[in-house]
Amino acid sequence: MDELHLVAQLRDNYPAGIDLTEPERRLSAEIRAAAATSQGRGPRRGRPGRSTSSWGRFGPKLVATGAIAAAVAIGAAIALQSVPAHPAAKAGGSPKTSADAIGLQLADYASQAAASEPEWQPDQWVYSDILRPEAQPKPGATNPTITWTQVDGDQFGYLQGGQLVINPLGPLAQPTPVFWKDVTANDMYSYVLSLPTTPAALRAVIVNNLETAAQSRPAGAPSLGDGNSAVFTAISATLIYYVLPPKLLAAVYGVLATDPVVHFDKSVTDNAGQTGVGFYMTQGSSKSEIMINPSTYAYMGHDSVSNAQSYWIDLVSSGIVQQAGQTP
Amino acid sequence: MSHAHQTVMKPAATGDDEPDGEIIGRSRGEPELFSLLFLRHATGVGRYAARRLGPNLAEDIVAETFLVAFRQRDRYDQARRDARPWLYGIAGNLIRRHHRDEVRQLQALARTGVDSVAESFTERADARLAAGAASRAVAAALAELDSDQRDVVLLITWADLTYDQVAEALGIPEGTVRSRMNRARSRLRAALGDFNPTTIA
Repeated sequence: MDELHLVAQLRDNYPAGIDLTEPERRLSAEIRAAAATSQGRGPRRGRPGRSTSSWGRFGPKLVATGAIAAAVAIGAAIALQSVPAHPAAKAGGSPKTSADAIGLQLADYASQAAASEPEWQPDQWVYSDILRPEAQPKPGATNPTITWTQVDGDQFGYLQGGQLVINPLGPLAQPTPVFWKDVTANDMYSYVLSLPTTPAALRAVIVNNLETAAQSRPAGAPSLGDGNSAVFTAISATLIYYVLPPKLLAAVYGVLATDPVVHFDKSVTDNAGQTGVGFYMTQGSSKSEIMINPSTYAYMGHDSVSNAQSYWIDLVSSGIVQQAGQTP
Repeated sequence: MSHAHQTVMKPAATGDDEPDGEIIGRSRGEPELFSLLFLRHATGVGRYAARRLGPNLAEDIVAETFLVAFRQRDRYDQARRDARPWLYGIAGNLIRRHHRDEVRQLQALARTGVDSVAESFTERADARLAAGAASRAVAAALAELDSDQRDVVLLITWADLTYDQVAEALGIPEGTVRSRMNRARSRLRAALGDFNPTTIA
């Protein structure tokens, strides 16, 4: 072992990352100022709601049309690197690209738009209109589902024969995972509303949930996959089942935008024919994509293709309302 | 409604391998693109600075490095595809301002076996990394180097730059880098003597 190897090993076992939140914030401010000076355009505002998506409204060349806050997202995201790595995190990912930079911008815009959104209250209701394939599919058949879930977890509403039916929301026999933490139906939104709304902190929670789940996983049971891909999967599974408040949803986009195995699609079309953008992950021949309305920043749905088999779900519309039976 | 995912879900062209130089060039008209440079290199620069000075100072170093780089992006030669030498050069200038702190920490590590840089990572007394004999010897040797020599050695061993990249980072001829490296290695060998550990704590 020569002297350079000895030097190379000194402090080599220290943590891989430092907290880059503050450096990112400072750079973001600088970039904002420069962008504002050169272009003078601010972020568009959006509100989660019906997915009237159109990339055109967001701007076909978001970077070039004055995405002032692009860099803001970077740090939110970049701060992720200060989060302790998932023990199983070995997935390297490919370099972030200019398209991925647009994903960062999207996350930042979503965050800024969400900042002015009021907090969800316990007596409000979460509305969702979901479109998914029929369990026993007929050609072209789908299964629309409109539901209202009270934020405090007490009640659940749905349409039956055109009439609104409201039932108590009892604890489910099988808790449902929220970012891979098992939560009962009664507690799901109290847990959701307790989550941090910055990407770095949220990712830390997800990683912790994954670690906890991995520790209790029976020997031989399938795992979620390695580190970063597991984070993507945990997010995908959550978005499929839960409508999230805007601030948390923006943080989710921030996590996705900076995940090394996740990349950004500038144009996707969901199964309802609506266009949007997406964060996707590929593994071999499989592709899994989270679709987003770039105008409202609402989650549009999920699309997975693996071995010529596909799974999809579209969130046609979602939002917070005062009473069950209302639409956003 | 379409189930033809293969035809519907086409990823957009991404320009995955766009060199740093081109991104910096484009960022002159589209400042937001500079965020990509941060994404690509902030972790590496941060880790390098943290190994030299500890995480607290490293945060400032990273922040200042990218601010300076952003402000000077007009001067960057776009033909240089890899921006790391430029960024590490800026970071090195900032690290040099803390020369005394760095040497003091290395000397303390050599003397006590407790690495204050590692300590500031853990912030837990019971998690102190008591350095082994090899670490202490290396720290003592690094502390004895001239700062110019230490920069060259650490840019190569900790930042994984090549000789020509170090030359670019420091703004000196490659021959100067090699001569500094040779002198540094001689001094390290002399300081480390016959020390030949199989591991270093």
